[in-house]
Amino acid sequence: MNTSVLSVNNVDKNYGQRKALQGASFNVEKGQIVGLLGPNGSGKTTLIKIINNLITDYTGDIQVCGAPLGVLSKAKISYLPDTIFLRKDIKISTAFGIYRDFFIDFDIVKAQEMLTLVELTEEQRINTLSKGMKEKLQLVLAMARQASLYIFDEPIAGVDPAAREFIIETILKHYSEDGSILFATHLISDVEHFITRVLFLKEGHIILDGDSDELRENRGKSINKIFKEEFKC
Amino acid sequence: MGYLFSCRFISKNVLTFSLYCCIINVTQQYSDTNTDYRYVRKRGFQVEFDDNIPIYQQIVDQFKLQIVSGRLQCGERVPSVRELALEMGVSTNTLQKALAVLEQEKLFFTERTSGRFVTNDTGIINALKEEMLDKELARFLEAAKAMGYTGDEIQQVLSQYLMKIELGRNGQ
Repeated sequence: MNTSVLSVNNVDKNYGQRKALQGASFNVEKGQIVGLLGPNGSGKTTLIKIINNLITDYTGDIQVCGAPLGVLSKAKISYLPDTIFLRKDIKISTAFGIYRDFFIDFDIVKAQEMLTLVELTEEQRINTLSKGMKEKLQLVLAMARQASLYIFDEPIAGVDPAAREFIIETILKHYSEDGSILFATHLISDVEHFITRVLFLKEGHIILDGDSDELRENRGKSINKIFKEEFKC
Repeated sequence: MGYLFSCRFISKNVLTFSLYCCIINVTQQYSDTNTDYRYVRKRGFQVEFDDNIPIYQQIVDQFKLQIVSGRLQCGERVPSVRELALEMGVSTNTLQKALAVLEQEKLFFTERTSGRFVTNDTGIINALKEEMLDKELARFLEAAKAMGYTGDEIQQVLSQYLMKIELGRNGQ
């Protein structure tokens, strides 16, 4: 019996001639906060899109809470992509309604509370929001779900340090008690303290998979330094 | 080899000096208020982690300092894992690991229904206090020895230093 929240086995994906992922295998266990770390173009987004069933022409096997990808896995995963995905012509309240209809674990009261915290109101139309506000709204939508697995694709890239801190605090505060997190980023120092496990992705290969504190203990240096060594140009 | 000092063999002056250093250390950490973390500020936790050392180990050390300094008192209830993790900006897993170490060393104990508490056994706390001071002394003496000081010289320098500090304090 497989108890992993996520298990990825030998996943390959090519874009034409280019190999985006080669033999990627790892598990995410309950309660882990996994940093999926790699430079731009290493395959992070491809891997995340595959896990979210948005790319389907890959080889290999993926299970979420013991079930294959599909409707069930989407119900278990709360996914925050690296792009704005919201329709422009609707109000925030409509976006909440859509989430409530689609996701049984969406807590609308929590979403409303978080919305107040980011100083938005349900009456606002999405096309009147700045890019930063839209990102905050998407964060609210993702975190108001009581998911088993939260997947974040570069949520802190391209925002200022204060906003980064806010995003990270919001994530740590609101992810469900038993949930796990897969956090893709290339900004290691911002996630250094709270990731419990690291996956280094280099040119489609997972070159390192280990416990954060064990790595620090064994090598006597920070994840940030280990990253810089592994990805030296 | 064996330049190991145990507390018993060190003059009172050295002890006082080290204690003084510890106090300075503690007050410095306590007065550091440029963090927004409520609990941390209240407790004087140092949230600036050294990234080169395991985070859980640093949390263990911070708790030990809280306990021996009395800021966390005997029998005091420890906040929930979730609360602490959030305040320190670490994962609950990491915090749990730190708490497990502290429980193993009998500094914390868990009551099944009501939560986690600081030990009531002052013997354990005093032993920890001595052990922590021992470690600081060993480090200090090693450094002094590396500079070429002898035991007698160190004692002399320390008493002079202490006197200077005393004078400075009286002068204020």
